[in-house]
Amino acid sequence: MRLSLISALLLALSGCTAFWQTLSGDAPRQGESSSLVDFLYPDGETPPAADDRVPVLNVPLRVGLAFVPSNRPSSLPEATKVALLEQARQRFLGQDYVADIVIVPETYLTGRRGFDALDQIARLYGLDVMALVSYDQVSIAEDRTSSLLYWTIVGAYVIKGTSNDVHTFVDTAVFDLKTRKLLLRAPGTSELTTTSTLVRSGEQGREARTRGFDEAMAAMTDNLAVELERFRARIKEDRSVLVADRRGGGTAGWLLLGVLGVAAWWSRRRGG
Amino acid sequence: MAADLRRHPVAVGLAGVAVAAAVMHILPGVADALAWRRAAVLEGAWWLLLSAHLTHFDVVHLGANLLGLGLLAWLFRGRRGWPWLAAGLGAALVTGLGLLLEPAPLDEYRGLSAVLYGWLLWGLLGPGKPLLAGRWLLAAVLVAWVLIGIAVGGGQTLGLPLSVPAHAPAHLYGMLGALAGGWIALRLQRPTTPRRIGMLR
Repeated sequence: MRLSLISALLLALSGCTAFWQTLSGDAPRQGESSSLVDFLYPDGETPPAADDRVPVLNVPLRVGLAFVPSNRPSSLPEATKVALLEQARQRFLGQDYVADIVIVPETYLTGRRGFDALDQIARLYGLDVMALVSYDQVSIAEDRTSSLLYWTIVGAYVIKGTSNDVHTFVDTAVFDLKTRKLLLRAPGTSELTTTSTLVRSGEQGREARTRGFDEAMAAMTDNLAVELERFRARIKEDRSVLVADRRGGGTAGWLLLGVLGVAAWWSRRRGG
Repeated sequence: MAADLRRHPVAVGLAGVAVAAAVMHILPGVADALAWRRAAVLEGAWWLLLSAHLTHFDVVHLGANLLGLGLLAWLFRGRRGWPWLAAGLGAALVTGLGLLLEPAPLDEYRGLSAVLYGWLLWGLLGPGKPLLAGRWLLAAVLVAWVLIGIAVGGGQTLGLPLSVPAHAPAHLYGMLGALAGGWIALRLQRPTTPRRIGMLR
């Protein structure tokens, strides 16, 4: 009898947070992800063979920006996702090669999948390229040694005996919508460890997961800026992507100015 | 002073154009609103066909065109005003319409150079005191330069540090429009010239 009691106690002690979070609806180990490949090639569809078409980017570009929909309901609210995308949007909006960046709500992409869905979105918004953000996040809640004090009841409120580890990876892939070719990609990662009391472990876990996305998106945005510069330098050399400008300037070049200058000089010399 | 101004109508007119272009560049939002935009023109904003030539993308763009305008004004200051005005209007209109018909269309166009090319060609070939002995040769060089620019692609910046590439076909439209506008103006003026009146007598 005594042995059974001790065993039950030890079992319960080993998983306070797990037990509490299960009661409160949060699993101690959570993961959510969206797969770019699954979205673009659903139902095991095989990607088409490579073709020789060269993407032509007509700058300034109208860019679509969206999260790749998750296969399961996401714990991240749509409003938070839009706010995350808005931060990236603001970073690139002033660039001379960007006419506009349109945030496409995830709900627009959940009905249909694949490039056909992207084509519909492109026609709807008049987009030239699409930036798709896929993600993978794992969060693990574990008890620390100090969680032993949870058994004092008061300890569950005051002792930070729960550790929340959140690992987040986001990846942005930019596609030319006409040729369906990948232009560039940029990743961003975040690793967070927070501690919380037992009663706040669920809430703190959700906050950490949101912060993980925030940090990973910020890192991805920095990487994307670097990748864009590399992309611009690369396509100038290898001509794998052609750039055409939608704007044109009527400019008096050196020849016109030179002709006028020489004519003015000549005319003045003649006393004209 | 007033007599001097009347003697040089082209110089006075072009100075007015320069002031208008500079003011439109300085006032915030004006250049954006009055630039040639395909969608707006197709929706009926016809005035953009004319106003776009007074708008510019950046200071270098504006400066290069105003320099050209100043040289033109000095070179052709003694020419008659009406055909010159008609040549400028013809250049502006034909350029705006020509841009609409291009197979790889632009969305936006700004700049005075199409009109400058038109005025220079009209100045070389139109009536008035010849600027240079080899004006036909100079006109041919000018046209050839523009055609080469179109052939090699209009995306170059013509050696200037511009934020937007120059659009070479616009210069051809400008030259064609100026010749057409100037020629029409001369045709309309001809019955009232003293020579014609003398012939009728």
